[in-house]
Order: sequence, then C-alpha cells, then structure tokens
Amino acid sequence: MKAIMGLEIHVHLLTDSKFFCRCPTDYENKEPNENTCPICCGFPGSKPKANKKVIDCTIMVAKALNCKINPQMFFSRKSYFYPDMPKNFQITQYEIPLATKGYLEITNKKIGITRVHMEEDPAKLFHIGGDILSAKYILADYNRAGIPLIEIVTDPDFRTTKEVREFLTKISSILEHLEVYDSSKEAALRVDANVSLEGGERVEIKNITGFKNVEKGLNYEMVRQESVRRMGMEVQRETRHFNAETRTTASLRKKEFEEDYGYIFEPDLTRIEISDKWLKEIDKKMPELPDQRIERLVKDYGVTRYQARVVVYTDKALADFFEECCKIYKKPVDIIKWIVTDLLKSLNWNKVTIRKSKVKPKTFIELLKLIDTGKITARLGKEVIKDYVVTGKSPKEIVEKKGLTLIDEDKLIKSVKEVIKKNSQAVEDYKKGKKKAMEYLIGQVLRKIKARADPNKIRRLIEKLV
Amino acid sequence: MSEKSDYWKIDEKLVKHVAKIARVNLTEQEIEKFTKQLENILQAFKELDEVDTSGVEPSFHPQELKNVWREDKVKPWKWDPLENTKHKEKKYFKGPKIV
Repeated sequence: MKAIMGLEIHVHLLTDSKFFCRCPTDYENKEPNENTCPICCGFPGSKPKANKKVIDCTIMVAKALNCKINPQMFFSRKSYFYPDMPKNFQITQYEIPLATKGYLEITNKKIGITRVHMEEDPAKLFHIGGDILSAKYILADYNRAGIPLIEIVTDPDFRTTKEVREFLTKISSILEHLEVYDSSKEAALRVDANVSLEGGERVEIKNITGFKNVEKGLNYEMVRQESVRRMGMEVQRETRHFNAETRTTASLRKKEFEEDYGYIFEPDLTRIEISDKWLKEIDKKMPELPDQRIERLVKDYGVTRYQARVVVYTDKALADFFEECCKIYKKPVDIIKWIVTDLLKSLNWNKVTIRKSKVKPKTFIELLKLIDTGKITARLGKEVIKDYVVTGKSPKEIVEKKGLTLIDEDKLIKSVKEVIKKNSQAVEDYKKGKKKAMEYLIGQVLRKIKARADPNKIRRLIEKLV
Repeated sequence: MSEKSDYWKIDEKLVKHVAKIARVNLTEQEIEKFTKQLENILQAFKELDEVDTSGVEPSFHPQELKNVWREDKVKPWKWDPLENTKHKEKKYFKGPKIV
C-alpha cells in the first residue's frame, strides 16, 4: 500500500537571547526556570519585542529552501491549554508565514516546502510518576519557553522513509552551513511526522528527536495502519506520541481541528515589512550551501563526488576539517581518503563527532606524513589512527612508544629469508605461477615483523631472493 | 460553520463546542442564555459587515507601526520566578498532566 508522508521540522535558532525577551538561550546546565522573566512567563502587562536576528536567520533559511518570501507579515497567537506555555498561547505565524512555496531537491525528486515560519518554543515538561500518558503530574522548566524556532513544513511528497532520511540529512547540513543551528545540542531539531496510507486518514506523530527515530516512528506507524486496515477498521485521524525506547507510537488525542486553536492576530507586536533592500543585504550574507560546496570540493581538490558528499553531509565540521588539513598539507586526495574511511570509522566507533573529538588538523597531518615518508606502513597507520582518535596524542609519539616504526633493511631481509626457508611448498607454488602463494608469503613476513614494513617492498625482496 | 449561509448563525451546538475548547463548563440554562447573547453580538458585527470597505486597507493597530524590534542582546532578569506560586517542586513549576 502506498504511504504518503510529510514533515514539520522545528529548529532551535542559534541566538544569544530569546525571541521576545532578553533572557539567555543557553538552557543547558542552568537551574530550572533560571532563564526566565515576566515576558517569557507571560505576566500580565509584559510586552514582547522581536529579536531581529531571528527574522534575518529565517530569511536565510527560506532563501536556501528556494522559497517565496512574503514582503509583509505579522505574528499570531495560537491558543491552547497546556502548561508548557504560561500565557496559554504561543506566538507564531499563521495567516501569513515568512515564506511559502519552496522546494529542496533530493535524489531524483523535489520535495515541496509548504511554508517556513518563526515561532517561540514552549517549556520543557517532565512527566512525573509515569510517561507522557500515565504521569501523575508535570514539572515545567520555562528556560526553553521563548527560544526562537523555525518551523519548516513540507508538502506530503515523501513516499519512503529513505527519502525522509535523505531530506533531513540535507536540511540539517543546510542549517549548519547557514550557521543558524547547533546540531550537537539536545532537541535542537525536532520533527512532527504525518503519515497516511493512500485513501486513509492522516496520523501525526509528535515531537520526535533524532533522524533515526523519525524513520523508526514512521515505519512503525505504517505497519500499524496497515494492520488496522487488515482487520477491516478505519485509521483514525489523531495525534500519536513516539516512544523512543519501545520504538512504538501511542495515541495522545484525537485530532482537534485547526480552527480550534483560535488563532488571533498578536496585537503586542508590530507588522513586519521585508524590503528588497533588506533581502539584498541577506543575499550578501548567504554563505556557500552544501551542494555548492560539494561541487567546489570536487573541482578544487580533485576528490570524488562521493567523498565530497560524505564529508559535507556527515557534519559541516568534517568538511571544514578536510579543508583545514588541505591548507597545511597539499595532498587532498590522500587526506580525504583517510578521512572518509579510517578516521570516520574510528569516530563512529567511539561515538564522537569531529568537533568534540581530540582530532586536530595538525596532528592528523602528522600521521599522514609518517605514512607518506615511509616511517610507518599504511596498514599500521590504520592501527595508529584508532589510538589517535581516542587519545588525541601526537601520532609520532604513538608510533615511537609502541615501536611501530619500520624495521631496518637487514632485519627485514633476514626475516624474508627465514620465511622463504620455512615455506618451501609455497615458494614452489609461486615458482609454478600461483599468485596466491606470493600473497601468502608476504602475509607470513608481515606477521613475523608485526607489519612494520611495506608489503610492496617485501614482495620485491621475495622475488629477488627465491 | 464554514458554509457561507451558516456564517451568521449561532446555535447551541456551536456554543457547546466553543465552551469545550475554551475549557468552560456550562449548564443547560447557561447554554441557552449565551446562545441568545452571542447571537446579539454577532448581529452587531453583521451590521458592521454591511459597510462598504472596498478599497480600504485593513488596519491592525490604532497607530500604524512596523519593524519594531531589538538586537540580539542578553540581559538576564533578576527575580525568583516561583515566588508567587504554591505549585512548585524543587525549582520547577508544578502542573496537571496534559494528556
């Protein structure tokens, strides 16, 4: 059965102060409710005033997503009865969002962007005595309330969760390149995902954190809807909650219709008029975007498109790292080869991002130079990189401490001779033209000398000595 | 409600719905009473709606203001946010569960 999916993506914008007050946004490691004031706590008589940077950033995002930007707009109040907004309404945009009708290209497909708008984040709630459904009461921390969010709404253009993942990876990379978002922050990007099976009602899965969870939530929901239908029942239009631990969704509430939010114009904030002059200023500030960067890396450094995509989409910081390395060592093709294979493998194994790791261009290049100058073999380089990612120590030191430098010529010849003597059968096979026998002999030598010599050199020695 | 012919009509069903989404409990007598009152209010707007406003720009404020904002500067507010509430636990506000 065909599935139809659409996304609502909420992104924390990287600002110092909240959207409508001067409270700080750095809520991590703060006391609960420390970053609050009468404005974000919704005290009667308090007056919000918009943070201009939020509007600037949102225009940049809208441009990157090929949207049409509305020249005039205003803010609206979305009324609802949750304790996560002390005012009982959220300041958002409804009738006229900042931007509409954009698109983002993924493989062989364009995903339509319905709208991009600005709003404030609600408080973080803790469910006490159970989960979201069984809690006895909630505790609210308003440090997060009022932090600026961009909401990106897509058209229902996704047919597979693979498309969803590609899209999210791309959006995240764009936001990173625009420097409006910090991917390492908890809850910096949250997704509401809509899914229906052809001809059926739409179900919304609320507030999923993490790309993998979006996929899991959607996959679970498709299977659930199929089985509802198979039992001869109708899928109900509702909002469901994704439980990351059980990887299942559970019903939160039957969908209230949109009008029930009682949107009204926000009279405490002024209209916004975006002039052509303002848009031109933003144009000047627009940085290079991921797709452009990939093309540039291919053109300027001679790396493959695949390699360029890996460094750019894994993490903007990884692409930055690559370019930093190229500045100090002019061997981009070798550098990227080591980054997309062994470095990335080690980082993933240690569950650390390049930014949070101890890997630095200077020391990383030191390692490559050890290999290039023949101080160690590439094979040993792969071992050294593992230690290096964990400790961040100078690769030279690691190599010296572990005694991994190449053994000297005399010792190597001696070892090769010993191996030849011991493996007369293999030597015979080699002489008869069996290529595998040579590989075997090289392997034996490498084992004997703990890989501290170049396999090609060993090959030449064997050829000479048999 | 979205159908144009019903646009100016208020009935008990609608009042019940509005009461529900506004989280207000109404008795049967109150529903009857408010239905009449809301009908009167809407009638007044209906009269306003008859005025020809074509060519008049919609107005949001008594004073036309636009593009009033502030720069992205932090100034922490010094206070005890929990001072006025009984509903607290540790440094959190305490509230009813939401679903």
